[in-house]
Amino acid sequence: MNILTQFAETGAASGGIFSALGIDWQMLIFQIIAFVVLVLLLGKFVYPVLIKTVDARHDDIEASTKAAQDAEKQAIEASKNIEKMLKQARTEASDIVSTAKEEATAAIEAAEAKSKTRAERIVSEAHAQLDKDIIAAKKMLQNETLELVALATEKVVGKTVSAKVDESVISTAVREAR
Amino acid sequence: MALRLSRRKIATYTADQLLAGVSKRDVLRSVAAYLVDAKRTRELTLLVRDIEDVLAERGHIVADVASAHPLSETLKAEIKKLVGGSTPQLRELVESDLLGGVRVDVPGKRFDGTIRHKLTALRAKQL
Repeated sequence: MNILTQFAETGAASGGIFSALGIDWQMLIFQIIAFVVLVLLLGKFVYPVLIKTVDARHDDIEASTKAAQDAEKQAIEASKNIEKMLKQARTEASDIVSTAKEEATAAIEAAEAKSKTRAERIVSEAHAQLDKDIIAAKKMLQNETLELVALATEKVVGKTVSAKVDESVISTAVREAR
Repeated sequence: MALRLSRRKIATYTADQLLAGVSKRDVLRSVAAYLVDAKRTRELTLLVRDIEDVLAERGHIVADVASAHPLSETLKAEIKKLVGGSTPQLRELVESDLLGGVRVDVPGKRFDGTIRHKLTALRAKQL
């Protein structure tokens, strides 16, 4: 303050350095004071708020950055996990396909064996049925033949057996009966 | 009311009387009277068979002989030999359905040598 006053006095004494420069020293002092007051006011009331805001912003940015890094890490981890899972899934799928192929082959073989057995059984049954039919047909034929023979004999004998022939038949029968 | 006698006793009595030479007419009349009195006329057929059985046991066999044609004396003799017994008697019957041969029925058994029987046996062999 003393310096300013001294400087002002020097200026006044010297007779117009400030005036030559177009500077109003009173106004300058006032402005300096006002500036200082402004700086003090800003330092007291505005800067803390701004710094606080900036710090908060800085913290937010740091948190965001950290979150982004964590997210990136998690993404990388997830990617690795996905890759691992995909690899495992491919392996399992391959195993499943292989097992399915084996099972399908086994099922086809079993079905073929079953079909073959069934076909053989059907053929066997058909043969048996055929044999039965043949036997039945033979029996029927034999029965019909016997019936025809009996009928024909009855007809023929009824007309041809005379008393004399009958006597011979009876004589033979009686002799055989003894 | 007459005493109830068994059929076997009546048959034995009748056969004995017949074999003893009592008149057939008298014997049969008395048997018929008993049957009427005892109200057993329904048993007549069975009684006749029983009498034949008793006679057969005593060697007097009555055989029913069936044939398609009347029998000659030679055949009758052969059949009597077949029947056996001391005095076999034949009761002849002609049945043309028999076709040929002879069927002899004696008490307790039958001999069937008819062609009809052989044809029936042939048919019976059907499977």
